[in-house]
Amino acid sequence: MHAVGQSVARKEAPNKVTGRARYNGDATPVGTLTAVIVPSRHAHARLRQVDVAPARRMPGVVAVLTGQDADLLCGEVLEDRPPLARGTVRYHGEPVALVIAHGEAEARAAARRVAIDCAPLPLVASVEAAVAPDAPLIHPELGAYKRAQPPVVPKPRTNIADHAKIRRGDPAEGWAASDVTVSGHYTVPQVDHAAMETRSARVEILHDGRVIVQSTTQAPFEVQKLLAQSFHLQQGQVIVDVPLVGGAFGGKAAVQLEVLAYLASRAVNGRPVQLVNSREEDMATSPVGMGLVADVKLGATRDGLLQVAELTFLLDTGAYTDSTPRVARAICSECTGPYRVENVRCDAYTVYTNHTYATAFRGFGHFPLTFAIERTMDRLAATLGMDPVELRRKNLIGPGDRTPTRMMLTRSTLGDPRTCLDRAAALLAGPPVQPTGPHTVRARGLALFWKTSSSPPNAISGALVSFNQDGSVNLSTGTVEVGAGTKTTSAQILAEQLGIDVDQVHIHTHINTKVDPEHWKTVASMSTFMAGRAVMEAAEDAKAQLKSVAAIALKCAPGDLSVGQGRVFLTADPNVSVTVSDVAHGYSYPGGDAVGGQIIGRGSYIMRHLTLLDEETGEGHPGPSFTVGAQGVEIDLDTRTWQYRVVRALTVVDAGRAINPAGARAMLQGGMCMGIGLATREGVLYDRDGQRLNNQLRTYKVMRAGEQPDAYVVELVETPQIDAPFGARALGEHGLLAMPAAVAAAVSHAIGRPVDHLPITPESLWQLSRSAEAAR
Amino acid sequence: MIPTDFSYWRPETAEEAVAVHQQLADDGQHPVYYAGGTEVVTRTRLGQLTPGAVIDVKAIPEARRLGRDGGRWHVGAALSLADLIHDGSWPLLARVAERVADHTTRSHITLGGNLAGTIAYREAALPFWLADADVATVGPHGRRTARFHDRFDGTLALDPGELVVSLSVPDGVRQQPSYAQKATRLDYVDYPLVTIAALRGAEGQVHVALSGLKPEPFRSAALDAALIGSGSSADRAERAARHLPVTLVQDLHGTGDYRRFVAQTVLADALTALEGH
Repeated sequence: MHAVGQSVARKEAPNKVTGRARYNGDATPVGTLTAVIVPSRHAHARLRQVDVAPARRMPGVVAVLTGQDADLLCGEVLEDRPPLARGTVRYHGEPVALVIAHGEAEARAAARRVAIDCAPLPLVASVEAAVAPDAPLIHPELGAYKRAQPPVVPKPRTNIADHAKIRRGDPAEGWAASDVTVSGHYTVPQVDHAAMETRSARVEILHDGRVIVQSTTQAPFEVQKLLAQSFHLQQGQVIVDVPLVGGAFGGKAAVQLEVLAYLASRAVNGRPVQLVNSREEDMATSPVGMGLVADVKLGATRDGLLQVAELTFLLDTGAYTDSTPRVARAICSECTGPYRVENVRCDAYTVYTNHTYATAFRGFGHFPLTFAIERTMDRLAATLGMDPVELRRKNLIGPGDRTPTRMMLTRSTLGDPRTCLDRAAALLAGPPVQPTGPHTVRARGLALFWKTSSSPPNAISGALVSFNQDGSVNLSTGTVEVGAGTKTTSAQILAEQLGIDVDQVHIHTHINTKVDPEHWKTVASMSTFMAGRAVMEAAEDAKAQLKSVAAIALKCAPGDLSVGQGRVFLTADPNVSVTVSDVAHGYSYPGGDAVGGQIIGRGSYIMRHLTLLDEETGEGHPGPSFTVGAQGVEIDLDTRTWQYRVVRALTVVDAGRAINPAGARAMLQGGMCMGIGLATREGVLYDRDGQRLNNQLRTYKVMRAGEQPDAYVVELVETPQIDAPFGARALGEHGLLAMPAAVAAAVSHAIGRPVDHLPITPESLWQLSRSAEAAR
Repeated sequence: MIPTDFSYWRPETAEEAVAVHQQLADDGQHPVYYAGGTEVVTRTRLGQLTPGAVIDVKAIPEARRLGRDGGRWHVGAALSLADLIHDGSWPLLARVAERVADHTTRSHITLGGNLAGTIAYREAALPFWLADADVATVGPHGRRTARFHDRFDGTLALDPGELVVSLSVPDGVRQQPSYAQKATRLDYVDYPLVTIAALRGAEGQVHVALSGLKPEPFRSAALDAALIGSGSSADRAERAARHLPVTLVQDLHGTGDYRRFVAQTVLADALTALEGH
């Protein structure tokens, strides 16, 4: 009986598909007050006065808070963000006041009465403007901010919140050895996570000192730590409870509403207060995914061997840094793409603008990075007159090579990029572009990706296993079920280790920091690896205990025994056995006396050998392994109207080992869909005053059912990662990583000009064709 | 969440609706007629509208009529776009309507709401604008049936409190050759860069009405005239495009220049579809 490698339905699926699953904002417990954010209508302004008196007088209002009531700064890496604006507002939508009332209707009606008097400040509307000499400063106090999680290298008296670097080899030598040089300039807008469930938090401060937090977070233990730290509480006082989360994509790793809800509850004598984002608030007040401007320069020999890469990235983190300095280091770590380059110079700047602040977004900077590097590889191929697949094959990184952070790769840590590339190229067979009608063409594009976790070197996970009287098992881990199927994967791993059916494993769908073991955060595609390792250890621990009790019952040594199919049996003679239920809660002799006791398996995992990146050279060990893959698309494009459609999309990825193959495919296909959306339509827009233009799903477009390609092809290559559970590699983010690059490659082939800016709309292609005509 | 209270009225005749409207308006209640609610609900939620009263017109039988009478085809203003698509007996209207919003929303958006609402595209008006349509209303000054042409110039000219009850077109117009197309930024479901409705008359001449170019729908006799004559569809579309408004809408969906390009393309497509060359 095997549970690993089987396609099983997610444990929570029946409740989800029938609408019975409960999410955080679904129900309001009796007695809960509602808080509503009063957002800034300006993108950059000095607050002169926030008059809350008219709002306070409105019916049902209990309290109104402003920045004066919240003397703290938040920030995962750099503490630069007041939870409620103090003195200055730095983005359109920033929370300025918080209205707490008996119900949402009263709170929203009163929120409209808060009068914000402010004097506009000069707007910083782009990263380019932000780094220009004499740019208005968004954070004049930058040098004084506390660095909560180094490394972070702010440049005081500028808008540069952080500068991350890679210095490897000697670029001058690389340029000298290069026959060919290509460079490209690329832009990727900020994007929205657009999770189906908007963010929400509920906080109650009990009179015994406990703080009960219910939230949509991907990082319950981070919320616990931050609240304890910020408000001088014992960590154990803070209890964070997280039910199923309706999509997160990194956006729910940021801690924002939890702090506001805590402040609100504190202001009303600890009564429970909930804060549920409307869609507009979720898009404009809560953080988005960062934007990026990239300049990439590659040098290669005439036969296409890369000699040098120089890269500059300006990351649009908006008004506050949140996790962007960490994203910058993740980009640095993999800045060359999965290619062998000895001489590398990379500078990634986290730049403040008067845009909505940014946080992690699925892929942690790798989709914009991949876009920039893969577009430049296509440029190099064109300049060399070489097949883009051949160029990539020639330069693929492999075991024995070092990454930009000088991490030495093995087959286990890297996987097999060559097979991924070759299979994808075979699946995408056909010319780069071919006519299909008088003014229609079909075009193809391919791109590669790689990614490691860029997680903290001391990230931990844990698992607890207990038994029911009938021998079935309960599994508790600290991962949040954000829709990735992580709980089911963990259950499969446990079932496999105990030799039982996955139906015999019962999971907690809620996470509660009081009872569930800590898991760093449900991010970075690390749940299968980290929680999986903890589950395996917990299974081993439980098995050892089962054997020691069974050894008494069976009058043998524990080492003589095996566990499987609900029994503990003599390895040499499986007929001699007891059932797990006979021993899991103590073994009773015929006379009624008993030995043993309740068996509780425990397991934990901590990252091994990871190191922080050196501030000067970027040297370090950013993750336990890589996931590599190749993606391709076919598009149909009308050269008369510039309208186009992705008709086929494919991914070949080294999955290591697919624990739940159908789940892995679905996860990758979902990522591909998201990636096509990012390539073709998504992007946060501001007007000239920095006001958010598309803070609704009617204007911020995501892929709709019916717009998907005719086929999503997924092929899994399996090169085990030796230290991962059953060899399984990270897969959660990877489906989207190279899709925008692949779509851009296909469109570039179709129109005969490089496409370097996202999103690729028909209008952008029309503009390109016009500028080409004008240049003629 | 709609944070303000309002009263709800459900009259059963148009006259009663108008009387209620007048009384509520006199009371300072800022009443609005309510049919599908897609605008009233969303705008009230965002605080762009704060009605003290909503008057639901869906229980007025004549606002839900659908069918032939006296040589004309009548359609009630409180029918949803989905109703009109399902009926399908005027293909041009059905084709235009089925590209408005998404299916769920089309099941709520009514013909009258689309013509008289705030969202300015008013694509359902285009077919009526091209046909010899009448519009029947009831207002404070009583019942009135007028030529749609005389009351619609991109915007429906209604008196305060006046309610659109139904529209009608000559029965035969529904069989006239017609063409409709909607061009968007990219998505199938989105606001239009350009929506075109085209109708070919008995004498063979093509008339067009366009939405998305100006803040409200657009048509022009000069543009229609430029569609006549010799030359390929593309050539005539190019000539006709010179009669488009000088300034076109420029917003997050597309620039004015791009809209002009797209408009010329759909004009050529309409001519090709209706004339075969």
